[in-house]
Amino acid sequence: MKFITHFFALSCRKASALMEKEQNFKLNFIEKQQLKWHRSICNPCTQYEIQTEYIDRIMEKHITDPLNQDVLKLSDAEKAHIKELCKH
Amino acid sequence: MPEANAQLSEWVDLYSDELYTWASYKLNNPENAKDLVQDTFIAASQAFAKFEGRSSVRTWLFSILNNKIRDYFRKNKGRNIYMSDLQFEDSGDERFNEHGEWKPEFRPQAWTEADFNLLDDLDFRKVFDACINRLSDRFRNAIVWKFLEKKESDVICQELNVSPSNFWQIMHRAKLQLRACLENNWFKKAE
Repeated sequence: MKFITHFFALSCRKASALMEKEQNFKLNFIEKQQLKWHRSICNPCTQYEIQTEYIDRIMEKHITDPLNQDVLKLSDAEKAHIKELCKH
Repeated sequence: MPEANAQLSEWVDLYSDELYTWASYKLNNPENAKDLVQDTFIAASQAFAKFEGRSSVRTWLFSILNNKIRDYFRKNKGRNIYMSDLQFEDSGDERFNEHGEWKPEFRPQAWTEADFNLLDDLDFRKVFDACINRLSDRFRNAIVWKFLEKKESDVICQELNVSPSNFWQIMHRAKLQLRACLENNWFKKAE
């Protein structure tokens, strides 16, 4: 029994890393069981997972949506320079 | 081609600031962003005759710029993602104790008010941006690239030239930092 518990035991550091692996690729059988076990006993890692999934979805939207950016401006000299470069 | 010159000048006046803003945000580097905007207009001037007005000028310029941004990421991938650095950083993380458990002060807390309406909140957007920009270049590039391209991770790996295990470790490190930054600068304060 001790062997089995040890076999499935996972640190929070490893568990949070495996969540990332799971999301991007595939876990092997042992990793799946380890993570399942860890999720069932570890509240902070469960929170972590909820939050990183939330971050992912927000990121998706935020990064493709430039609407709320403050507009940066090129100087008149820089614009004139570009115009010059474009002349044929 | 005086007609083309006049037209391009007009487009520079109309669109260059917007293109520059977009590129700066993606690259997190104003100087390189300026170069890309410049390259975009040069490419537009060369392709001017081929532009048939099937899309709007703005859309057309943005598509040229986005290609330049992709090239930029591709060219910089080798400089920004080194495996040796990663291993070094991965060896000790200040958030976990020696058994790999969360240290009490870094343990993820439940977030109240974490919903999607937050994206309408300009202040939240600013905090979110600041947190992304605080990531090191290679973390930032990997995560921005992933969400910009919206492709499968194995394709992203090829494009960034990193191994899959390297990639998910980079993402893991980036998310740890991003999550903690948001918690400290937004969610804790909201309580």
